[in-house]
Amino acid sequence: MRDPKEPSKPPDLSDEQLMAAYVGGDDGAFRQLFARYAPLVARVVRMHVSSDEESRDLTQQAFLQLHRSRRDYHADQPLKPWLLTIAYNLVRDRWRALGRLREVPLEQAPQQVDGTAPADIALENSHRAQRLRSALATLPADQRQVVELHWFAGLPLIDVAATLGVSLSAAKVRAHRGYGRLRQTLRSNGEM
Amino acid sequence: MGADMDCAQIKKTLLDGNSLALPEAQRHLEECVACRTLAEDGGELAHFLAAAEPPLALALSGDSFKKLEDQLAREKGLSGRLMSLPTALRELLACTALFIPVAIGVAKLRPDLALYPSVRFQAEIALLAGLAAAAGWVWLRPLHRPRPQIWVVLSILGLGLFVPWLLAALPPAHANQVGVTNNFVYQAAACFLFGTAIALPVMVAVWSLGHRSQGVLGFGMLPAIVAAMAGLIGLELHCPITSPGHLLLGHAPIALALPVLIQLGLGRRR
Repeated sequence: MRDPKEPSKPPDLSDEQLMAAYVGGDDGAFRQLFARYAPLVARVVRMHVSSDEESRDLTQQAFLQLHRSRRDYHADQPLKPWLLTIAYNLVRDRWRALGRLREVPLEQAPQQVDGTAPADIALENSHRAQRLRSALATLPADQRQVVELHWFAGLPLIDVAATLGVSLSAAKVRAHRGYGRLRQTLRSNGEM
Repeated sequence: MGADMDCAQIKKTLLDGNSLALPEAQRHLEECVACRTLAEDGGELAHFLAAAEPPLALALSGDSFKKLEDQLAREKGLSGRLMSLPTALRELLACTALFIPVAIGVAKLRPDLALYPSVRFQAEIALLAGLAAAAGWVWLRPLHRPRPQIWVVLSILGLGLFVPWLLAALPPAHANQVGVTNNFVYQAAACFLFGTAIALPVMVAVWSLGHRSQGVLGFGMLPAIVAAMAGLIGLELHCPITSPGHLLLGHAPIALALPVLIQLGLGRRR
């Protein structure tokens, strides 16, 4: 990802302060938000699409929709669940357009792009990622989303619930079942 | 006593191989079933997930932000500004547009209103208004809220297409054929054109105010459903003819014509 242009805000501003600055007309704040969150959004989205290109496209759309909905934003709301809800809506739209929940084909699994890992480690990581993806695909969609948001996006359960539009207790139940089932699947596959 | 840990701190502690015996960790684990499950068996699952998760730099190329900037530049016009308005304002503007057909209908109020059973009249208006509100609610829904279930969208579309025909096929509200002439086809065509004409501005306005996100078959027809219901309310307020033949030929087809029109427009855009 290209480094954003000269940031107009100090880097220690919170997400919410940056978003408030963007709503106030500061384009530099949007660049900082993109730099801060585009990789995370791309990673979450990439769990559901079959190519880096598709993931890149949906990540851009997520930020475009963040721009479109900026005037609905209130500074007292955490930005991360807000942005991830937008990203998940896009993923759901994509599923609906395809008429099914997509399982990413193994041969199209994402590749690491930093190029720093030795080839055998990168290959092992890639295979492990494929096995994880296969295990995740066995979870019901509602449990899978909770696991992704809690683990891969790093959201606390209360924000996971807000992102998915479910109650906290529902998110807790899904997390418990999702992680439990994932462990069971990985064990039965000999991964753990 | 330290503050309770959060999920991220528990994750880091697990992956660093440190103990979760601290009181602040234990308090979090009591509350958070997700972290509790991850911490079982020495955090075995957490370690597997950490080793297998895709890297953060994934899928983003150097020109990602440039492409986004190009897309943002295309949002500067009236269309971009309308869809970027706060949701409350977009809803207010859509409601204002909805009142155009209603105001026209009230201004040219049907002469047989005293004969029309008031409960039925109010129920028909309420049904059409409810469908318009439901379709508008889905269409104008903010992007940061979870999407409604697909069956909700499809139900609104189905009802929007079906209910006008059902209402038209009901037995006449009264037998007094006020305003009926011998030219059945002419009167039906006049009502169809009148209803469509007063509904079109609503369709354009509601379409412009939405975010137009796709994904559900027929989602793009929601503004047409809003507009068709508004046009039918205008006709209900204005047209005194109660015969099912007239209503089936001159009123109900509006609920079909506008969605077809918008689909044709969408097809051209593709």
